[in-house]
Amino acid sequence: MGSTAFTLNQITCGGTSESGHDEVMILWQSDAGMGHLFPAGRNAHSMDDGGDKTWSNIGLDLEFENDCLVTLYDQDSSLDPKLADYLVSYDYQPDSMPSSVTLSNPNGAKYTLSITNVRITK
Amino acid sequence: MTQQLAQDLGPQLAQFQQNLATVTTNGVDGAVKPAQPTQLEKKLLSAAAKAIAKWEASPENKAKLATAASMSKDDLQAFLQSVLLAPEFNEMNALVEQQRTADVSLSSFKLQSVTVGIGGSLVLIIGVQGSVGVAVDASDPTNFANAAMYASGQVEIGIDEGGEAGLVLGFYNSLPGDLGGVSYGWEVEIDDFGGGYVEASYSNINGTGFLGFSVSVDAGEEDGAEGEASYTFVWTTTPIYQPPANNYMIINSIHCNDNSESGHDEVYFYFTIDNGTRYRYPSQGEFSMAKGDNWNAGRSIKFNNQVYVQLFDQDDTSSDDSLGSYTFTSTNVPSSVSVSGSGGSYTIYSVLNPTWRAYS
Repeated sequence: MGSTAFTLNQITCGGTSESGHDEVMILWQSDAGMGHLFPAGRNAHSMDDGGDKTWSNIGLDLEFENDCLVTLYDQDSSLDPKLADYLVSYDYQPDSMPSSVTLSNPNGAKYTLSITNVRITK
Repeated sequence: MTQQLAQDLGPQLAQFQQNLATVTTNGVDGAVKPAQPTQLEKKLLSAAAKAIAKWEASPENKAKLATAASMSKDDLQAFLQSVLLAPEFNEMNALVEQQRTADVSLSSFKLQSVTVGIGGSLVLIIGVQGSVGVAVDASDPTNFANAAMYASGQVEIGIDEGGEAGLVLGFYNSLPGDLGGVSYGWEVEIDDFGGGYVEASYSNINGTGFLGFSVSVDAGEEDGAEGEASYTFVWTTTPIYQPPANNYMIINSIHCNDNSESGHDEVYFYFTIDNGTRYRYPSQGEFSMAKGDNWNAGRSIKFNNQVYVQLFDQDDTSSDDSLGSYTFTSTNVPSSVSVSGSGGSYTIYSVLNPTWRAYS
């Protein structure tokens, strides 16, 4: 089995799940292993489709063999299932590594994930 | 000594140790140095140190503490929760409420969690230097409905900590389930503190994310540490980590053929691996779906024999509605399978043990 590495560099908001801002957290999980939250400490990044539409210079280096599931959540008062909102997700797979992908949720959330520096080791 | 706790904490413990091994103290110098707590917070920290000292002075309590490694996870959680209910901690709990409700001018952070754990040399318990314990909601520190177990390991600069295990209390600005991740800590000097050791912790977000304070009175902690890096893992009620297994499947997408109610179904699913742990995806929230909608869930699942997948429509006013279920086995993972329930119909698209062109 080979491995794939990439850098999640930017998230752009094209719509929020609620009026105002989404408080965006990234949960990523490589190969169904450990789940990681970013930013650490859950200091969510406030985003909307206006003045706060771009979260740049994220610089999150990720690596996996089969897949890396990147999920964006709107952190309300906690990540309690009844209180947090799932926004969008994308499952990066060795054969599916778009440099930019726009994802939508019927709740209004619309986010574009941009990655760079894709390295595939066979 | 049996290591019942380590067994109960399960494969997540190995993952925790592995993640901790990647943490270095490189970020310590670049991060913001600790701020001083306010007078009210100094009172709180002092009360915490005194409570620990008084509690540990009891031979009975000390003896109980020494048996932690042989406790089950549930027993340890119950034991530590009982510590917060002990009369020695009444003053501290009252000061928690004072800090939490104080005017912003009297507090330096929003207190959201109180932690109580066993700290020091935990090599026999969780295989690291650090602490293992329980985090509770600061708004009601004796209500354990939302309590979460945590383990925190430390990578320290220039010290050789080796004190016996003792209680560690923490006061943090994150909710119990939100305490995980990398952080950096420094000792905080507090005048007339009475011998306790106080450490301020910061997350690694540009070195500016203040997390809170921890307090201990164990002699092994009084070592003049210049700084340390920590990795904290929280065992939440919603499991995410999956242990290694023989098979790897991915639920690539779910298609709505018919929603079960007018408007949208708020769809999520459980998957139960080998009749054991049940997981939820998304771990929080749902995906709204109506007829014709497609959800590229991309949920990977590791299993040995079977996976039981249950789709649900989340309902705010009554119990959630089943949208159907299917049991995938190591010899039966159809590329698409339709399920139905409560008037809804969905098709699950999956792949078992995928091979990747990119690696060929």
